Amino acid sequence: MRRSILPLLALATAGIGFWLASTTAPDAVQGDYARIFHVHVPSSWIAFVAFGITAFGSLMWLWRRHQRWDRLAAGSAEIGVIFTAASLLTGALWGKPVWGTFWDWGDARLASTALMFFVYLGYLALRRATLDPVARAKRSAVLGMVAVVQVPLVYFSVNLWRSLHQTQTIRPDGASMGSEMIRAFLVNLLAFNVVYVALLVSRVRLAKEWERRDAREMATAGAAVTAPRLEPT
Amino acid sequence: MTEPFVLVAYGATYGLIVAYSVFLVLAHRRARKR
Repeated sequence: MRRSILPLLALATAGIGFWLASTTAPDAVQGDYARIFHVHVPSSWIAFVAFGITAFGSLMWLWRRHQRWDRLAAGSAEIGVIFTAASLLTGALWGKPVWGTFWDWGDARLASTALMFFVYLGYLALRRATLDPVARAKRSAVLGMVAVVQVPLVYFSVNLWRSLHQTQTIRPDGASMGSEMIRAFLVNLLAFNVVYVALLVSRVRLAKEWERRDAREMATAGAAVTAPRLEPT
Repeated sequence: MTEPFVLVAYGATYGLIVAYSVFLVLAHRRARKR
């Protein structure tokens, strides 16, 4: 029963978020294209949160050396890559009608986000390339802590190097949006956070099941080596 | 909500989330069977 609450909550909040995003009045300048904001910004936010959690899990693994932190770091990185992909895709689809181009390597936000995406793809590749669980956890923990430097760089890139991408829409001193649009955005942001937690809980649980399976297989293989059954002569 | 770019953006985002969720569900089932 407890297991089904999070996915249901994620589905419900995402449904409400979609309904609000599709029924708010179109933007005065960008029209319907502004609705992409409701999936683009939450996707980027979740990518930042996910990579932050990866760094936290990595730090905790290096400190405590418990596999649970490695499972958390790895699961969060995988989900972060998915949301970064969503952010890049939706950004390009928003850029074409508004900026006149899908992509511009000269824009700091676009280029740094793409770099972050590939670095975390490398993180996942590194994990697959290392068979020993302790070596895998150690190597990926170091990379997980180094790679997180990109998160503030991507976030502040729009302030540091002004180009095509607009600066932050929501800042501590206020937001450059109407109240109806802010409401729809906040519900979508909440929905994406709930979806992230639901996916992370499921992914961490799956990693634990895989570890149990590997331990069972190792025990079977070990028993075969230590206690061979000899044929009677 | 009828602009093709908007529909593709929403389809791509929710599509990625749904595809990953399906992968998790199938992987859980497979892990339990073994």
